[in-house]
Amino acid sequence: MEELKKSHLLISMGLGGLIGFLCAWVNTFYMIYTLPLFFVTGNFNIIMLVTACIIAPFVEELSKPIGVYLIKMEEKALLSVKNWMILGAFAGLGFGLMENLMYTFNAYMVAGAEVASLLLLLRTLLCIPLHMIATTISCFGFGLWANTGKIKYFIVCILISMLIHGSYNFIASII
Amino acid sequence: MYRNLTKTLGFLLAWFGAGWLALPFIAEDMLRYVSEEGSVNFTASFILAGVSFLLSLLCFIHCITAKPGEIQTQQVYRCPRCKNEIFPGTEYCPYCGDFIKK
Repeated sequence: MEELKKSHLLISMGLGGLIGFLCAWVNTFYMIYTLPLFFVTGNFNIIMLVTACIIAPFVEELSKPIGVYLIKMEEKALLSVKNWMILGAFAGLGFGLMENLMYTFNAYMVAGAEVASLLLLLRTLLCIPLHMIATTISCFGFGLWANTGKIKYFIVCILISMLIHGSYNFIASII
Repeated sequence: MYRNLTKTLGFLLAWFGAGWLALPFIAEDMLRYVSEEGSVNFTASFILAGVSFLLSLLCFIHCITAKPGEIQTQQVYRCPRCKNEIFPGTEYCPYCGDFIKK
């Protein structure tokens, strides 16, 4: 097994951040997929709920560990499950930090510095650990897949991470 | 096998629990600056904080009590030239075409 390099951490965190930047912008476009629901139900809230609880977790959980996929496919690194998991945690951290930055900037432009700083504090306490938990679990599965050759571990773990993310978004929507 | 996972999750869940605990207080502060009507659900936040702390505790207990397990790792063969994964017994690398000595 190889040792974890600083460049691996930087790649996973940096690309996680890049995905966070993109996701913070394109969140609205996810709604396009749920528009048919609006025509059937006539309820706009259902679009918001399906987008936040099903589509966003599906897209984000698959794309967050892009740096981890890259390290496996391009660098052909042979890492232990623990190290893949650490890379996942860093990918989630990068994603969460960048998403926070984007949302805080938006809040600053719309509502001012006080609201923006409170939002930053709230998202640092809630959203960053959520993203880190979800990506740690999915990359744990990725590490098991990389080490055993059985893809079922990755599929189960990514589904669990999507479920956690979706449940969080659902609770945050109704609370 | 799962000890490393539960150790990391234990810390992250404790962090997450602190977030749920702080949520109603921060939300209350935010509502002062926003003109929209809204209410803060203290009970739900405290329940979720409790669940997070409980899960965190369970993760730490698992981490302490679980026996270290071995993962049956797959033997990986690589081409000495291009470093791509190849099947055992392959004579020529399917990626770079290099002859592979046994």
